[in-house]
Amino acid sequence: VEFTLALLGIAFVAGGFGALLGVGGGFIVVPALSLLLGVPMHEAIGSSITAVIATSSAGATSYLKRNYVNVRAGMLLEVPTAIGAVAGGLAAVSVSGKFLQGLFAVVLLYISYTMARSRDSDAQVYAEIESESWMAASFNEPTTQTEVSYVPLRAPLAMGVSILAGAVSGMFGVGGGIVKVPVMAAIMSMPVRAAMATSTYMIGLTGAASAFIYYSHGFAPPAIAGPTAIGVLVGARVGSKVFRRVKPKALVLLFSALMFFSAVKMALEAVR
Amino acid sequence: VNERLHKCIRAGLLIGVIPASVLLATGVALHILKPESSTVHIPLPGVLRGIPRMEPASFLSLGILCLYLTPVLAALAGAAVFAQQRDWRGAALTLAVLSIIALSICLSQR
Repeated sequence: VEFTLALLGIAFVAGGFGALLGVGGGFIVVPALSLLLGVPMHEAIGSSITAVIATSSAGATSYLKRNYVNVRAGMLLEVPTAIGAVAGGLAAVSVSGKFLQGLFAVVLLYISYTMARSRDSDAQVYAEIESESWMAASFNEPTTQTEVSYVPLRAPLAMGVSILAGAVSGMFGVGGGIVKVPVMAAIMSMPVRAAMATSTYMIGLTGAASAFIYYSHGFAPPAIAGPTAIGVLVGARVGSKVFRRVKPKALVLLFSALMFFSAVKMALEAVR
Repeated sequence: VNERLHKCIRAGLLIGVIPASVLLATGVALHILKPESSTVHIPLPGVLRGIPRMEPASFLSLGILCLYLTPVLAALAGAAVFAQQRDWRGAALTLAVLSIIALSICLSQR
């Protein structure tokens, strides 16, 4: 019972942060299950994928209602992302848990570094709008109450990088939002809010592309993946409501510090 | 145009996530009552068998599978709206994503 309650609590926090940051919560779930509760790495990843799909499903409903999601840009990027996710999932089930733990620590370190260095691109100017563009979209920015219109750019480059997002997701049980959000914001010049919301929607599909591989190998145990998913569902619901009222920058720095700490701990576990 | 697309995808997500939540919540409650029976992995074809016997592992596994199918259902709804709007590029991309997921399910059963 204590273990289940701990799972529910960790998943609630991960779901809230995942929805706030558009990263799916997997980067919190995997280290937390593995380091705090001693869950084997493959099972932590399989449970995390389940949680990531829950985060996406709960968070995206709210973002779709507010028009933040760019479904066309999301589907364009999701094709290479899903291919990467299947390849990543198949690779992960054939390597050892220690090896995965070591690789995960490297990915976490990279995430921590890139998040700490990321700039707030809310101030970007979206002046040249071709309203005829297939991916053109607009939404109401809640912090400034202004209508933001934009056209995603450089789609071929973004699609190429998205394969990596999918591979990271499939191999480490995370949503891949940590790659998707920078791809959409930095490469495609999408507003951060639209990039995070679109990432949240895409994460569910990316997760589904590798989830069945983990499930069939017995790496999504019902007693772990089930409570994790429920906790994340509730946390994501709360997180997506808070998302409308906060500026992402402060959260990004907090998340970055948390990732650095987890990376060091995971690296130590992998070499032990 | 986007409003209808977003509304249908949202409906697809809710249709999947609500039963998944109910099944998972029931499974977690049953698991707290009889934790020893929830640790087993149930292969895809056998998931429904334990439902009449109120087995927590069956409720949890079915909830997990419902959750996995939720984004698929939402994408299907999106593809239908794209097709209705004669946005063939959107429909084709969505169907390509769904085909990759279908391939993954086939590969996982080997």
